[in-house]
Amino acid sequence: MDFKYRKFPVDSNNCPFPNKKSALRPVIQIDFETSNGNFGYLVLIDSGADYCIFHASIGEQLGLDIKSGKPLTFFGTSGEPQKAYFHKVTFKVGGWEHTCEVGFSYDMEKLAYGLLGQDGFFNKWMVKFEYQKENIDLREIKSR
Amino acid sequence: MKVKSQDLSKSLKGYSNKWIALKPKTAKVVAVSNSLKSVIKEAREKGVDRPVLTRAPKNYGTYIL
Repeated sequence: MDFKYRKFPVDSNNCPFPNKKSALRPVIQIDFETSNGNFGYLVLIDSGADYCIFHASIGEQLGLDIKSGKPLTFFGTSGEPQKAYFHKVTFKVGGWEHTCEVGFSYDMEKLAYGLLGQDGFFNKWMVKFEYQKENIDLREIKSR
Repeated sequence: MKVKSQDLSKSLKGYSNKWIALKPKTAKVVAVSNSLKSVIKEAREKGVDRPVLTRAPKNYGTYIL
C-alpha cells in the first residue's frame, strides 16, 4: 500500500534554513472505530521509537482507563523521563485491521502526532520510505 | 509513479497548543479546541462524522525524535 508523506508548518523564527517553507514527514492516517463514533488520527512512522506511543487523550476517547495499563518510563532526545501506559488496541491502517500494544502518554501533549514504533508496527509491516517520491510503501508481514 | 504529498503547512500554521479536527480527504480544518473531546463534538456538529485528529504543538517546531 502506498501512503503519501505530509507537509507540515515550520517555525520561521526557529529554522536555520530561511528557504525552508515546510517539513515533509512520513505521517499517515490511522482509523479508530468506537461505540462513541469513528475518527482518524495522524501518526508518525518513527523507526527511532521502540514502541507505539499515542496521546493519552486518544486512549480516553477509546474508553480506556489509561493508568490501569502496564507502565513504561521512556526517554526522548531531551533525556527527560516520560510515562506511558500500555493497552492492546485495534485500529485500521489503509483499511486493514491492525492490533498491537500502544503506550498512552499524558507527556505527549507537546507533540503533534502519535508514534508508530518498532515493537507493534515495524515488526508487523515492511516499511519502505521513499522520500524523493514522497511515498511510503507499507506491506503487511504475512507470517505474524 | 510520484505520489503527491498532502500539504498541511499552510492550513495548520498559526495554531498553537490545540487539538485540530480535519475533514477527511480535503484535510480542511473544521474544528479547533483545547480538548480532544470538544474538537470531535464541534466537528460532528459541523457534519464531519469521522474527523481526522491531530495536535498543533506550541510553535509548530522541528522534530528530532
